[in-house]
Amino acid sequence: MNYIYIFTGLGVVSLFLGLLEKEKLIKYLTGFVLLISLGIIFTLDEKGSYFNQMLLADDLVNPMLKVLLFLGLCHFILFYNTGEEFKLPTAEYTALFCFILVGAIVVTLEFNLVMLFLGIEIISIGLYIIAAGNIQDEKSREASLKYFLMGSFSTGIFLLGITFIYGVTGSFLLSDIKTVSSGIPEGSSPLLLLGTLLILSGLAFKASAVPFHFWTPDVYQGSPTHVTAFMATLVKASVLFAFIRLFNQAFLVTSQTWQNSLWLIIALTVTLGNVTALYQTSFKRMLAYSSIAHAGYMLMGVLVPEDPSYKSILFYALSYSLASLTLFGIYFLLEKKGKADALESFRGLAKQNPELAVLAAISLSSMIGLPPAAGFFAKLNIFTQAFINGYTLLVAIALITSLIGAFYYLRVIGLMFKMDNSVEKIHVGLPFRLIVWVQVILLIVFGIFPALIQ
Amino acid sequence: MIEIAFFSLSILAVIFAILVITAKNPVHSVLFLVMTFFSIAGHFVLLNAQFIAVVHVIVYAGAIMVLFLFVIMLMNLNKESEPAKPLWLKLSGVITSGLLLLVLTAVFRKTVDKTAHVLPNPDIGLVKNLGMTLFNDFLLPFELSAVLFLTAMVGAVFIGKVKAGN
Repeated sequence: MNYIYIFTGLGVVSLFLGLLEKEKLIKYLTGFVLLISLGIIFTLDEKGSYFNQMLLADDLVNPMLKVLLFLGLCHFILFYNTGEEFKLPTAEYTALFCFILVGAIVVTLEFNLVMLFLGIEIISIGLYIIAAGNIQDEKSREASLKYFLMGSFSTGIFLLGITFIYGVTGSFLLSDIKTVSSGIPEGSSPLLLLGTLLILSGLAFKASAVPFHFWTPDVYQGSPTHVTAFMATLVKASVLFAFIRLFNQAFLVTSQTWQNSLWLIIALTVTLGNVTALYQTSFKRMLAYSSIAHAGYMLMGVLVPEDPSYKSILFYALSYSLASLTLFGIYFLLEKKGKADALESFRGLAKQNPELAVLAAISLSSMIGLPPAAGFFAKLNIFTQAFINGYTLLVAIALITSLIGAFYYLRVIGLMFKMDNSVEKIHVGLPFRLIVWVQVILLIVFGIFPALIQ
Repeated sequence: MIEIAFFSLSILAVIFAILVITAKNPVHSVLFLVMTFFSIAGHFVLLNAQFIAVVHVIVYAGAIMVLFLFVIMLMNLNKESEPAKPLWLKLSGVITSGLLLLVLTAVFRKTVDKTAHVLPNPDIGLVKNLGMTLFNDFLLPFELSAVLFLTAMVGAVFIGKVKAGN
């Protein structure tokens, strides 16, 4: 709860500092506040419900908040001087960054459909805007407009779902919805079913699961790289956290209905995401399809009962986001060197920049799920949980598709270590190097000691 | 009496809504939308929610529609021509929205509630009660919507500045 105050305040303060043109101060202040709040959240375990149970912080979601703030800090430092390169107005960009972070925190803590809606709207509107950050590029404009139009449509569908649920249960509170709907025999209230499915579609759009994924490749490719990195990691993780809270706290009783739909969504998502990624030549598009596939794997965690599913989704979201942030960061360096958005840009990276190539290779192998990196245990957790709960066919599909997925990640690794054509030496700043190393070391540490995260 | 009002308002709302999407001229379309909003505001009055009715008229029919008209006139969109869309696009649109209509109708037919409900407080929609609810039970969402609007406002400045910078 305090973090909502802190980051809203920080956003407003940075707007005022922008008025005084203290751009350096804004950056240092934001980094400092992020660091301090990360320190606070690791020392103080704040619990309780706020404002008539609008938000609820408990042992299950507190670790998720830590992950979100940590990702926020990593993202901020990795891309901290992007503003100058894109000639972005620093104050406004920082304010939007803070507000989106507020939205992500709200979405993670939500215990009320109204809060979920508001949080998702704050995130989405902020993203529509910063997606247009590279406005002289037609692709960026297209990405922003496309995301805006499709996003507002999906918000409408989501809102319709909320009204139907409210019509049946008479409450926005997740626990009330659960109590009322458990008194209704399965399938006897079509309005409840329809409401649940509409909410499912709305959230699946935000998490870019398959029948609702059409915006993802275009938006991820068109947006400036730091925005794409933001969407693919922090925002995606927070939407999945919202997913799991909503479906575990509110809709357990109507389970059969949404579980079947979710089953189908997951099967389609992992298959289509991985198979389509094979055919991409653009690096950002490839990562977009890979993020679709990873959303599918994370959604598998929603199917299983409460306690293990929180942990496995948390672990997966963290390992995926760390790997993803590292890759986007390294790609961003290449982009600054004027390299085109293509897999071929990575050809021969290892010759002059062995450090970057090794870091990227570890991140990619974490995404595949190879043992030394955290991605292995993340996938193992999710698949084991789903298998124990009787989703054998789904686990089989997920295993086969992650094997398919290994091809396109390995192709990038192969390209990087080809010595025929080299990428010139890239200068890496100290903060960037520090964060990238921290991320990769965390990936390996969590891969060797997965118990640390429990 | 109330039933007559309800049905005439409903029929008007549906007719105007159909006219909104069939009108060729965007300005006419916007004006029909204003009429639709007025008939929906009438529904709110029938539900004893005067505040929402008034806000609906002021905000939607007033402010937003005036903005719409300004945009259409400034961008000179009041031409009667519209680029033709491919047939498959129209067909898929008809099929998907038809399916949604089918599902919605089926759902509402099954959930018709014939029992009369008595509200615990019939004046729930009046300004005083609404304010009490808004500032007691829903204080946090009310305040957070300020963050939402601030985001949108900062966004407008952001896009304006990015454009000016290049």
